[in-house]
Amino acid sequence: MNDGRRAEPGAGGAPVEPGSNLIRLRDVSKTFQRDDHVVHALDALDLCVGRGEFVTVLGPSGCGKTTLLHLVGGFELPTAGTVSVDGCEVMGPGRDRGMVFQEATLFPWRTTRSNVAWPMEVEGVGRREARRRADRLLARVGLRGFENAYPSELSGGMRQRAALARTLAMEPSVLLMDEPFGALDAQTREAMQEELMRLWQASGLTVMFVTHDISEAVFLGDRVVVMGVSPGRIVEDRRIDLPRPRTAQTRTDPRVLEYRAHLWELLARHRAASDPEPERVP
Amino acid sequence: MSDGRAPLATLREAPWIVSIAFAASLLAIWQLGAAMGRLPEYILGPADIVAATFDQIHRGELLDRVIPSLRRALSGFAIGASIGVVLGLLAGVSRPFRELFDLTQAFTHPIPKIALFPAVAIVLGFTDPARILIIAIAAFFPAYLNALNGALGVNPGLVWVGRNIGASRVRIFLQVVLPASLPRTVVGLRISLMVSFIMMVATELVGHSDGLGAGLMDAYLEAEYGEMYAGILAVAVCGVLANAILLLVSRRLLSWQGAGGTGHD
Repeated sequence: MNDGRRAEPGAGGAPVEPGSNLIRLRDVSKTFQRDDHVVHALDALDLCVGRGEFVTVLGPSGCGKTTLLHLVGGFELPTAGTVSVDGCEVMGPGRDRGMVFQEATLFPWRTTRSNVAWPMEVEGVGRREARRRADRLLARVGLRGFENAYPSELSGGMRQRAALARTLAMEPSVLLMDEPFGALDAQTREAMQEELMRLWQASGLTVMFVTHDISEAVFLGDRVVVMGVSPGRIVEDRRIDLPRPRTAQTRTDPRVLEYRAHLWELLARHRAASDPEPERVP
Repeated sequence: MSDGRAPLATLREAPWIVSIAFAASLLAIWQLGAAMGRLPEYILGPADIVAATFDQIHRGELLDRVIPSLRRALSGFAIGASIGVVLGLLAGVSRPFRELFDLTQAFTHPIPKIALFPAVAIVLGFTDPARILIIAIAAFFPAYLNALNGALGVNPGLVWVGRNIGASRVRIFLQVVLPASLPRTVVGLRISLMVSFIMMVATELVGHSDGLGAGLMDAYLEAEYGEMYAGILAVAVCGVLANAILLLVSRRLLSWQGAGGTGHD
């Protein structure tokens, strides 16, 4: 469970974070060299995410929200500051932090079952056992009957379900989701959000979910972290007091409208304040 | 009017009819020209070429030429293409590797490989190893360049998934980069195979040799035009068959791409 991470000085590998924070970013900055100028993707950012919490990160293009996710995932390292998960500094990717990408990055030459079984095979689980567990995970995300289908035969929503199942196969404690429903049509997106709520409720997973969709951020999150551009920074960290479990009925709650109006106004103000810079993609 | 629409609709549904009709009419015009004695003596009609080919097969001469030729072409292809694929994929995943080869590749690629044959012959003579070496060098480049571009074009997200899962570099190379580059790599292999056949004939034309290329040269020197055209036909048939086998294998390997995934043949 320690791959890609290093115990903080004096921590001895044991969790030493106070309270129940699982993810902790302290004074994190990230700059990129682009041509002849330096891009400040993130500037002196502080953020804590509690164990089992669902945090949505909302912001316009270029606010560094994807970079933020990549830092927690260990795919990029901060220019300054520290990122730690479960008390250990993040030094690289690891199976404890499962990433679900914008585009479902399924292996097109593997069947759905084989895609989901792969993380377990890499870990050393026997082929038969891995396939059995893969089938169970596929049933959990509603893909029973599509075990032998290739990704090219699945719809966009089904591909994201399969990608989620493959990420869950790593048995992560943190789920990092980078606009996973961004490419789906509105109806499929809402159905996927509701299903994600159902899955998460039963899982105890800690989730960081990046989106630029205000409704999505409000519907899913315990907290909505709003980011602004140039440099990328947190402009508001708002708790969403909507009852759990959240279902289709939650969408009709009058408080949803209030949150949305507030966040919309906040984003509009910060968008007007500065020119957006292109979002960095992997 | 309604009578005229039905055949057109049929043609749209079965465009291969047009293909066959076009080829058949070319052959028919050719044959007609030959039958009317309008062609020069060194251009035989299709019927005469087929007859000459069967005659050669019956005498066992054609097979005696085909076997050494295929041995050279396929050995050269196997050596050159496999080295090309391995180095191309490695260069695709490793920047230092890529930069190591880049300049050398850029300068050597434009050389017509047959131009190297005399230089190789100084050391090896006009021998089989020299011919196979030239074929291998020529087959190397399309395999290398396409494998390289295949590996460079791999969706980085797939590699990130591998890193997230904790797969080793070797495993990511073998189980992610290799299959993801396969469609492009196979395109390179097919070009390499065609180039191997071209170089097979070209190297056999020079020096004392056996094989199809040498047969063409002998037939030219002896003005045996039937033999010459039989040789050309044999080269064509070998090339088409080898390409068909490679295509069949690649379709199996790339079956996950679904219908139409292998592009135009």
